[in-house]
Order: sequence, then structure tokens, then C-alpha cells
Amino acid sequence: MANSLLKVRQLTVNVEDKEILHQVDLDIATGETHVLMGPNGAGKSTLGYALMGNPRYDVTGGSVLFDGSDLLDMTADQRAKAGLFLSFQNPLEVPGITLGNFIRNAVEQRTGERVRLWNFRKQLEKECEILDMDPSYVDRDLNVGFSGGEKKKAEILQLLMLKPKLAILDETDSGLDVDAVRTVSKGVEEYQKQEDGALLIITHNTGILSSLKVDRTHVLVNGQVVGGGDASLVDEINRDGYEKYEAKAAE
Amino acid sequence: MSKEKTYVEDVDRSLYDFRYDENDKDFYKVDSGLTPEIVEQISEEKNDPKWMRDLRLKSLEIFNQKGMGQWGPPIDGLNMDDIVTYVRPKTKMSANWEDVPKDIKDTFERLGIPQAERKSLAGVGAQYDSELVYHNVRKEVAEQGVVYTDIESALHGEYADMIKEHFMHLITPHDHKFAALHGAVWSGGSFVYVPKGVSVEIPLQSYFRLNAPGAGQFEHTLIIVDEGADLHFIEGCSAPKYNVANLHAGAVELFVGKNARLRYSTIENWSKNMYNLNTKRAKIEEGGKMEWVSGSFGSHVSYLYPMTILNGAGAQMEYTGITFAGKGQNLDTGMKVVHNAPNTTSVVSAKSISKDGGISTYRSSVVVNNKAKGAKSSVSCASLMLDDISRSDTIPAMDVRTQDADVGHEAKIGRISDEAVFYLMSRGISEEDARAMIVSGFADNVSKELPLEYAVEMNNLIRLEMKGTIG
Amino acid sequence: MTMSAQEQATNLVVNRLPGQTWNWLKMNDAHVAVDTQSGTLEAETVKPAALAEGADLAPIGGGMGPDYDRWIQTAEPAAYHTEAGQHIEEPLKLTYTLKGGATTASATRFDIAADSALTIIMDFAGQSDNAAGTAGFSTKLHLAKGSAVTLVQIHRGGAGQRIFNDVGAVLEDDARFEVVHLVMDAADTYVGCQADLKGDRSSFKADVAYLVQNEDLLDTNYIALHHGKKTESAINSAGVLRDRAEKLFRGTIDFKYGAAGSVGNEKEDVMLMDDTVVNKTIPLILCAEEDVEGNHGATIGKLDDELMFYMESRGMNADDIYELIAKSKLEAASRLIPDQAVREDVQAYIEAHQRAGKE
Repeated sequence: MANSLLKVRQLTVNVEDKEILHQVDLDIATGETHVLMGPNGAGKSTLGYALMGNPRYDVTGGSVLFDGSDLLDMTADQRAKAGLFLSFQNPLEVPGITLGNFIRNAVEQRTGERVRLWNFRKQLEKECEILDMDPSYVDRDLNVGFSGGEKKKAEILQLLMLKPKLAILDETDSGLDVDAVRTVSKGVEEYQKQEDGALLIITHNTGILSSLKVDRTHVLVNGQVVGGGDASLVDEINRDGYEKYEAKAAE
Repeated sequence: MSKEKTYVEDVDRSLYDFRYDENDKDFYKVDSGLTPEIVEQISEEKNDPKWMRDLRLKSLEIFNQKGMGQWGPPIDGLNMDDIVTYVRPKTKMSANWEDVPKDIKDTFERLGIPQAERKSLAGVGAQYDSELVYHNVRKEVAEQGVVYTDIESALHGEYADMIKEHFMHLITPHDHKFAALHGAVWSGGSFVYVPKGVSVEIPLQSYFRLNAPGAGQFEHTLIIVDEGADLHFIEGCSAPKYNVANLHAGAVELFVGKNARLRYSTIENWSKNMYNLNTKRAKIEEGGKMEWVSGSFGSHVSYLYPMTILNGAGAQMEYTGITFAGKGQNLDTGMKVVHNAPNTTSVVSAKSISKDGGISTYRSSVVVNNKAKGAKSSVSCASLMLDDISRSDTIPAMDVRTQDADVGHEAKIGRISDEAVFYLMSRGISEEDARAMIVSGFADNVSKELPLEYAVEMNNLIRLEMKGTIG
Repeated sequence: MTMSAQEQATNLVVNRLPGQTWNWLKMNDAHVAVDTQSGTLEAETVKPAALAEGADLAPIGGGMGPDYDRWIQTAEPAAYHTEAGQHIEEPLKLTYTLKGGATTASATRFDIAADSALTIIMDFAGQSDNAAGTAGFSTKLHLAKGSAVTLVQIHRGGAGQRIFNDVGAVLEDDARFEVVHLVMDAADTYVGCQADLKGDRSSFKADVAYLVQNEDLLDTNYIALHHGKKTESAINSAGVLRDRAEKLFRGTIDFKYGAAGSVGNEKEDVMLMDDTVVNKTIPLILCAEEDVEGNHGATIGKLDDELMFYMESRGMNADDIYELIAKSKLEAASRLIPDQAVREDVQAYIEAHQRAGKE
């Protein structure tokens, strides 16, 4: 029986005084890959931001245990140090800080140790290769002038270098062409191979999932979890859409 | 003979035609204890040539007559009587190590500055190693024919005439009250001459040029870069300078010859009791290029506007600066440029940060006169407010008198984006570090222009300033 | 300017820059000497029936400053007010014919009630004779919650005249104030315009277009004071200078402490047509509040090379292009005049006064 990594109970989240998530329950064990699906506006990204601790998202009820600790009690950086990772849908540009230095800083925060430059560079290059990413990006200012696809790859690069316990991927495949989706997928697979790497993949289409092993699927409609199942649920939704679940949510 | 008496009147002011009407209520007068006898004594001590003595006395006259404009930060905390003490010869200006403020000592510690150097920077100890370091540098560049010496001894050597031709020709005692004060009591400083076509590989630094007790207050830097030559000069260092005396009225005069290039970098971090009223001016000839790189972090009050006169066709100026005003600081900085010849260009990137009640003002003037056909000027300023108790003002002026010009200006002000902070925190960086990283990133216009060790020191400075800023 | 024994000249300091700069730039303010007034300049008024007369306002500051307010206070103001919720469609039109050989003044006051809306068009039109003279105007407005005012002021036909035009407004919550300034002709024109965004979510927009030529002078001072939260300001100034004209544009966005969530934008665009002009621009941003967004931009000089090339490729020569662009700046502002009759009249004026391109 796998260890419980993330335990979400009755989570209710407001954004600017409007309740977006209503009493959400979710369980993820170490090493598992979960998929969260739902139509646009269901509140999927809200879940990702709330778990990561974005101050704009107001948790008004419920609890979250991450690896046994109270997650809601931690600031965003503490959650990152505890092993939580969120890949952003629209990563911000931060001029003046290179991608490489940014990652090195983040790795040092995660491990609590100084990074050996030589090993670090070598590893960066290796991961860049897996992601089919030009290594010169590492010396460019963080996300500045990066195309949508390059920004997403930079996020996955961070995922691979940081090796979190649980990675939440928020619409990582949206806006990417077929090749880019395949590359990102490859990166995620690489992460999956790592020991104990758990995933919560938030998506509303499923291109990214084709080569991944999925343990459990959840369906979110209007801020409520209205369905769950194993990997086959993904195919069901691809075939039949969300109608059944939207009806359920309306009840 | 009579020429010497009217020396100061001969000074070339045709370049800029500005007059001020001091009977205006916009000026107020300040009294000081400086007398001609004291100034004569200083001149005597230094063994000045006659023209220099005359310049000092004339400057004192002007200083006593001139009023103070009301447009900048108040300087009422400046005790003008103390000026007498700062400059009176034979005054012992050295402080006790025990009296040096704790925050200065702590910063020396954090920046990893060796013990002996700390005392020197605090004006307390002997000039440890400074003479040695200085001599070694001098030897290297001397082989290229470069003259790098202290200005007082140069006044008596083979370059005496060159100095006389240039000294206080660019910054005249008439320019403003503290330029006049400088003319009267200046002391110490560097003289650099780079011969035609010589490219100086290593940056020259004025770092350990404190050669008299309490000096560094009124130092005069004179740099002449001859045709086709190339020099990078670094003034000061980012380590805090602690001074008992609290007025810095130095002057920097830079002459850049035809097709020559000069880069002048400064990281200023005077102690927080200082009134930094420094004047810097450069005159650029045809095809010449001037680059200012400036970081202002210290002082209680700063008035600092490096001025560039683009005096020959195709002359260029680039200014990159950052000003960080923290608690108790009122830093009024910026730049002035005069386009006085055709096809001249000026490019400015100025950034400022205000926090903890600090006041930061960006003040500039771009003057394109009638001779400057084809002039191009582009000024970009950005200000970052880190809390709601600080101030940040932008006062840029443009005066254009030719049709064939292209003058552009943009400025923006805002705060650190919460989204950016969250993004960095989501990668495990604490809120305080995230803000410091963003501010360092904001300041990268300057740090990327500095030699690596200075950039590192500057980023450390920012980090220190940012401690305890969780809003 | 002649001074008779009875008349006394007063020296006024007007259009003072809120954040002063170096004195040698001569941009901090303007010093003018004015005589005492010889009379009020009456307007030819076309008043919408629904608009009531009378207004009782506390003093309101304008862009010209307190010296000017003191000088003009002897002029008996024409006052108007709206009722709550009243949206008046037809504009109030005030046409002034400037008098030569005299120093006249005219003051108007507006008390705009909550949720009401009014358009005011003031035309400082031609003059009966060509003698030099001075005309001072002062327009002050109080905009209550949710109200909206569009104020159009057209300066034209005042050759040889010296004109002072001061505007001051105080805005309560959700009020909107839009000013359109078109400045053509007049020997010396001084314009001051200040909007106090006192109420939350209030907004101020100023669109200014000018053509200054011959030996004329235009000296302006636009100020947006952001006091309330989430307030907005936009100052857009575009114009042309030719011959030996001189122009000074002062624009200030002032974020006071407490104006969180506010946005201020300022843009100046000046086209210079001769080497004998003097253009001074000083756009200020003063800020004491963290949570704001302020932007300003200025472009000064000759026409963009790309634009020149494009138009030349369509068969126009350089001089024609400059005349066309100069005209277009005034026309763009004229399109903002909400009243068709006035708009067409102004456009005809612009057309008539356009110079032919040089050979």
C-alpha cells in the first residue's frame, strides 16, 4: 500500500470573494500519476494555485496534508522546499535573472546545499537534450522573449532539475504544437521514471497523456469533484465529453 | 601678468549660455566661517602655483556671494561652519575605530573586506597597502605612457601646463555654490592623461586615493583622454566610506578627445550621514564617446547629475544608472546633456528604487541647441516603489531648438509584481530573497556594465538593503 | 503693452511646476505682468433650456495657480448647475469675441450634480479689431458622484492677443472629466488645467492639440492629482511648432499617498518644422504610493523616417507631408468635439488657415 503524499479534504477556495472550489477531496500517494480533467472554467487551475499558495487565492475551508504536514500553514516557498512543484500555465518574464541562475538558486533551496557548478551544468545540459531545448536558453533572462513553447519547456526543465515529490502540471500542453507536446511528454515521462515522483496533471485535452502511465483520473465541474476512475476514464471523456458530468454537477 | 588676475573670468563659458537671476526669491543665502586667510593658508601648505592661489581666492568670493536654489532636497542639516574645520590645515580628522558606526563595521564584515583595509576606508588607519597597490598599477600603465598620479604633485611636474589649461575650465566656480566651494578648498585627487591612440587594458581605480586626513571630501579628479585613446576609470568602491566630516563636494572633470572613449564607473556608498554634493562634467570632442555607469546607494542627501557636453560632430554619450534610496535618504540624481554639435547622440537608462521612507528623485535635462542638427536622444527611466511610505519623483526636462532632431523620453513607475514574487517563491525562494532577486534584476542595467567583482559587490549591497523588507 | 497712469501692472507667477527643476532651464513657472481688468468679457451664450443658472462653489484650484485666482476674482462669474440624474444632450456654448486694446476677464462656475452629464463648448473666437489686448478666463467645476463633463475649449483668431485660460475641477467618486483643448493663434497663450481626482474611481482625460507659429508663445500646465483609490488620468498632447514659435508643455501626474490602484498616463508628441523654434517639454511623475502605475512618453522632433518614406512613395514631397501631418494633429482633436456644428466650423477654420507647402 503506497504512502499518502497529498490528502485534500473539503477544500473550499475563493477568488476575489467568489467561491470557485467547493469542498474538494483528493488523495495522491507517492509515485502515482493523477489526471484532473474538466471543462473550461471548472476551477482546475485554481486548485493548482491554491495548493501552491498564491496569495490571491483565499482558502475558506478544508485542510491539506502534504507528506504528513499541514500544507496550508506554509508559505509558498516553504511548500516548494517541502517538495511541491507547480508548472505555470503562463510563466512570467523576470528580467535580470538568467534561467540557469534561477534554477541553481531553486535547487539550492530545495536541497539546502550549495550546488557544485560543474555537475550542475552537466546535468542541465543533459536535461536540455531530453527536452530538445537549445542550451543557450540557460543563459538568457528568465522567460524574457521566450515563445509559448519555450516557456513550457523551461518549466519542465525546472521540474527535472528540482525533482519534487509532487509536481502539479497546469495545462502544460495547451498552445503547443504536436512536436512540442511530444517533447514535453517525454520530459514528464523522464520525471515519472524517477523514484517516487508523483504527478497531478491538470488538463482539458489529453495529448500529453498518450505515453504516460495514469493511475487515477478525477473530473472537476464548476468547482466540484463529480467523478473519478482509473486511466480508462480519460478515454471515456475523449469519446463522450463532459456532458454526463456537467449534468451531475447541476444536481 | 594681468591674465592671471582675471583667470577665472577667462574661463570658457561659451558652451552653455545659462544665467540665473539670483535676486529671485527662489534662492537663499548660507553663511560660512571660511575666510580668505584660511584659504591662503591652505594654498601655502600645498605650495600652489600663483594661478591656483588666485583661483582659490576668486572661488571663495563667488561662494560667499552665491545663493542656493530651492528645487532640491533640503540641506539645512549641513553645518556650514564645519566646512572651516574640514579644510583648516593641520586639523586632525582621523576618527577612532570605536566611533565608527556599527552598521558600517557590519557591512565591512559582510563584504569580506580585510581588517587593515577597513580602517583605511573608515579614514581611521594609515593608508595600508594603498600606496603599494597604487604604485604597482602605476608601473603597468606607465609603460604605455599613461600618466596616473595624484593631482597635487602633478601641479609641479611636467604636466603642470596641461593641468592649468584644463583645471576648472569645465566645472567653473560660477556654476553653483558647491563648485565655488570646491574651487576654494579642493584637496587631493587624481590626474590621468592617456596619450593618443593608447588603449588602457585594465580599469584604473581611484579606490585608495585618500592621501590626507579627512580628505576625499574635496578631491578633484582630472582625466584627459587624448585622440583615439580608450580608458575605463572606476571611482570609489561599494564598501561604505565612513566619514566624520559630512560634506563631500568633489569635482570630476573629464576631457574626451576626438574619437576617444572614456568609461567612468562609480558605485557610491558614502555613510548615511553624508551630504554628497559632487559635480561631474565631461566634454566630448568629435567622434568621442562617454559612458557613465553609476550606482548611488549611500549618503543622507545626494545631489548628483553627471553632465556631458557633446561638443564635436558625432559625439556620443551613454548613461546607465541606478539609485537606491532607503530609510532617511533623500537622493536626487540624474544627468544633464547638452547637444552642441551635429549628429550627436545620447542614450540614458536610469532606474531608481525607494523603500522605507526613502525619497528618490530622478532629475535630468536634455538640451539640443540650434547647432545640433541630426541629434538623437533617448531617455528611459523606471522607478520601483517598494512600499507606500517612500517617494519617487521623476522630473525630466527637454529643451529642443532645432527641427532636425529626434528626442524621445519614456518613464514608468510601479511596484514589484505580486505574481513575480509568487513565481519565485513557488521555486522555494523565500519572500525576502524573491524581492531582493527582483530588485537585483531591476538593477541589472548597471550591474552588467560593471567588472564582475563590482557587480557582485553591488548585488550584495542590494541584498543588504533589502533585508527586512517583507511588506 | 501700454500702461496708463491709473492702471497698475501686477506681476503674477502662473503655471507653476509642482516639482521644481533647475532654475536655469526657465521651466519652473511663468512670470507675467497684467493690468487691472477694464471689464468682464461677456459670452455669446447658447444655453440648453434644461440647464439652470447659479452655482455656489467652494474655491477650486486651477493649473494657473493662486496668483491668477486672486487676479481674476474681481470678475463676476457666470454660474450654472445641473440637477441630480440630469443628462443634458445639447451642449452649453459660450463664444467669446476678444477685444483689442483692453484687459478683460471672464469667469464661469459649474456645480455638476450627482449622476448628471453636461457638455460645455467654449470658443475663444475671432476679434472685432486687430489691436493687442489681454483676455483672462477661469473655468472651475465641481463634479459630484457619478457625474460626467466634457469641456471643449477652442483657441482661435486671437492674433495679437494674450490669453490666459485656467481650468480647475474637483471630482468625487466615479466622476469623469474630459477636456479637449485646441490651440491655434494668439500671440501668447497660457493654459493651466488641474483635475483633483478626490473621489475613488474618478477619471480625468485631457486631449490637447496645438499649432504655434510666427512669434507666438504657448505655455501650459496640466496637472492630475490622484487622491482617491483606483483613479485614472490620461494627458495626451500633440502639436506642431513652426517659424519662431515657443512652446512649454508641463504635464504632471501626482500620485498622493492613498491613491492605491491608480493609473496615470501622459504622452507628448511634438513635430518641429523649423530650426528657429523653441520646444520645452517637462513631463513629471510624482509618487508617494506604492500600488500605482504611471507612464509617460514624449517624442520631439522631425517626422519619423518610415512615415516620410511611405508618404513620399505615394507621391508627396517633404513640405506637403509636413503640412498634412500638422493639419492632421489639429483635426484629430477636432473630431473629439461632440457638437457637429462647432466641429465643422473648426475644421473649416483649420482648412482655411493651412499654409500651402513651400516650394
